[in-house]
Amino acid sequence: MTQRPRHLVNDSLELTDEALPETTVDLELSATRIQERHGEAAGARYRHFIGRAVAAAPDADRDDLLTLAALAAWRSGAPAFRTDALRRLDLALAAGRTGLPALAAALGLGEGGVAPFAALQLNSRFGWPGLHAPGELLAVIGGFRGLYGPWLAPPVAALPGDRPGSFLIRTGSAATAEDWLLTVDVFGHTLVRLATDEQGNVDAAADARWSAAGDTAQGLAETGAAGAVLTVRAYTAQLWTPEKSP
Amino acid sequence: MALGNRWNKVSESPTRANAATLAEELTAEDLFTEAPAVVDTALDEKLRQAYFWLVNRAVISPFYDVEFSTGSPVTFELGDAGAELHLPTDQSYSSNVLLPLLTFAVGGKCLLVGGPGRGKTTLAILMGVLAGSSAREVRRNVQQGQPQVTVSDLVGMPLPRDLVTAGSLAEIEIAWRGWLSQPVKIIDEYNRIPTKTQSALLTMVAEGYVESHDQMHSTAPESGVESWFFTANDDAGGGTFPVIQALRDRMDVTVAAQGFNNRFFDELVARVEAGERPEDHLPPELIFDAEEQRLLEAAIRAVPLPGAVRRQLEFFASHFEFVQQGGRRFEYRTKDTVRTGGGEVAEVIEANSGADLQVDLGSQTSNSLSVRSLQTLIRYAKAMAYFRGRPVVGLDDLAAVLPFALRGKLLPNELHPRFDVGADRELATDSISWLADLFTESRRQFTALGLGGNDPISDALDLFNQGLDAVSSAEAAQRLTGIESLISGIAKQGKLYGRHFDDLLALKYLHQRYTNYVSWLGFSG
Repeated sequence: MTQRPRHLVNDSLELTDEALPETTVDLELSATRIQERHGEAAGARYRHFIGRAVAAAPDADRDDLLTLAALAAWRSGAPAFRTDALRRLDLALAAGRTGLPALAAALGLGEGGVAPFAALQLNSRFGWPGLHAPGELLAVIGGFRGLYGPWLAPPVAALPGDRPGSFLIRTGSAATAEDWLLTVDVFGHTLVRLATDEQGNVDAAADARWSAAGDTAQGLAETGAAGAVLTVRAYTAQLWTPEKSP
Repeated sequence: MALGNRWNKVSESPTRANAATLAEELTAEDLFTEAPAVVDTALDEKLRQAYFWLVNRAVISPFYDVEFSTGSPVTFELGDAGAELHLPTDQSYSSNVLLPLLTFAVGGKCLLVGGPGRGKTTLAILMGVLAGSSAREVRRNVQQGQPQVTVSDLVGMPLPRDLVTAGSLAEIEIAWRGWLSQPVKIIDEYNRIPTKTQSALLTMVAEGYVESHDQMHSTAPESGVESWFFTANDDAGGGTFPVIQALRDRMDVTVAAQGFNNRFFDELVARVEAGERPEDHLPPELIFDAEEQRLLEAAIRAVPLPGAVRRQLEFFASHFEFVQQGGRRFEYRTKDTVRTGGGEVAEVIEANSGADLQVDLGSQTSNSLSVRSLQTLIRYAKAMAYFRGRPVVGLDDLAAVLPFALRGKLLPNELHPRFDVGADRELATDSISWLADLFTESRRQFTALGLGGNDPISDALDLFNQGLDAVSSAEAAQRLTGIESLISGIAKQGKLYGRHFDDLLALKYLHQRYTNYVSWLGFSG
């Protein structure tokens, strides 16, 4: 079966596509920003989550709206918003400012799931209520370009990156080898091709590192413990929770 | 929507994705911030936006013949005559828009060739509008080549009052034509201009000034960056008047205007119905003011050319000067010796039975590369890298511009078996494909010879360039022996190719410098 890129947290989502309400901030603009950076599917998820969140907080002021937008953006699959979203979530939960129903809606959780989710995220960016059994599939990444993926050749090796949630992936071999930087969390990922040496020369140290790399890489969690495991197979990379939960 | 609004669409930034475009951390505020306006973007980004506006809105040119790929592009073999269609994996470009735009950016000279009605003049006019002139002004300043055009028609004329009253030439004031100081100068159908007027044009193009009645006038615009666009419907020497070689040589790049793709007829119909011309609708945010033109040219000039890329270019250029039986003394065995002596280069190449014509890239050309051509090539390779947002010039940048910079300058040897018979005959007329192939083959030879990693002549030159301070007589003598050993190594190969010519002359140069040094040491005690 052809594996398509996906994050498991989105598997059971049923997206609504309603017009975004008029607020003191331009929600249409924010949806456009997400769509530009992460594609139509992420844009649709953002519209779904922010639409529901704002509906649950009709009296939200600008700061509340920014909190909901950051959470919805992160939840829609934009990892770059994670830090700001978590900071805002902590503040909102501590101050009881933004209503819990709105925060839950922005994250696609039930009201009772927001605090446990925030606690899980303290330890790992892959934390999600009900998705922490050891060896559980978190996401499928990559794919063959002919089937809307980014890669022309299958991934052959993976290395942990130097930051939490980052991995290096090599696709192809010899002259066709390409290196990719994956930044990933439970909701989404970015995959960027790294610039190649102009002459096609391979840096000896990097080459040795790649030669030693296998088809599995253990990533870092926020606290330095194992965060997730990346394996490569066929035309995709798969992200798993560690065999032994941190 | 008013029909005119369709012109205003400018590609949103960034037009070229790279790692830097995906910020690691963003905040909620970033979601509600408009994308940076075009005026705030870097000049390379603005240049790309101008390109995409030109190619998607102004001239209907769905051609992507300047191909860039990472890894291997998907390729389809088509028909039964060896045709291949590549699907590049990286952002690729249309040469007939990109090369004129790079010419505008570097302040170069571009020859647009192609049949009538292919948008050559429109494209040149668009470059003028990009430089800040109104479309009407640019159109008025286009110099139409025709058999009656005189030098005065081009440059202006003395004031009649002065012709009567002046006591000397110095007192004659010239009414210079306004187009002379425009940042973008357009000469339409330059191969219809009489030879004498072409000579006046050559002075302007080559020297940057015009002269009339002992008066001089600089053609430099406010920015100091001037670009020239020439059009011709023939690049093979045809036209009402043959183009003088010196003027032809001044064309930095030659680009063919592509035909119209009939799958894009709807846009054509829309334009006919609206009665619109693209040059009247250039979005103002795409215009480069004088300061931006100056900064753009300076930024392109500053793009570094890495040593490894330079070495590949040196190797490529080294193939073409040498011809085995071109002279008696070693230094004079060149195509230039044959040509200036009234001989036929092709015949001399054919008389050389020692070298393998299939391997000897120099045998495919009837001339060699001029220093001017090489300088042009470097400048446009830098422009290509800059346009692509690359920090340094890459081999792919060089390969992309090389055919356009050398078209009409590196000429095929029509007696070479490649052009005479066999599967490559079409390369005799398709010079862009031929030149691209020539560079690819040169790169292949470079790799096969292992010159990227082991190049003793480069090492010897580098060693010498470190200076001779504290080099002892014994050390210098040892280096001399090393040089003789390298020459001996080449001599033992038996066959001699163009690449050896430059190497041997460089070794001779080093030998001479060390010999002089040893003599000096002996003399100075």
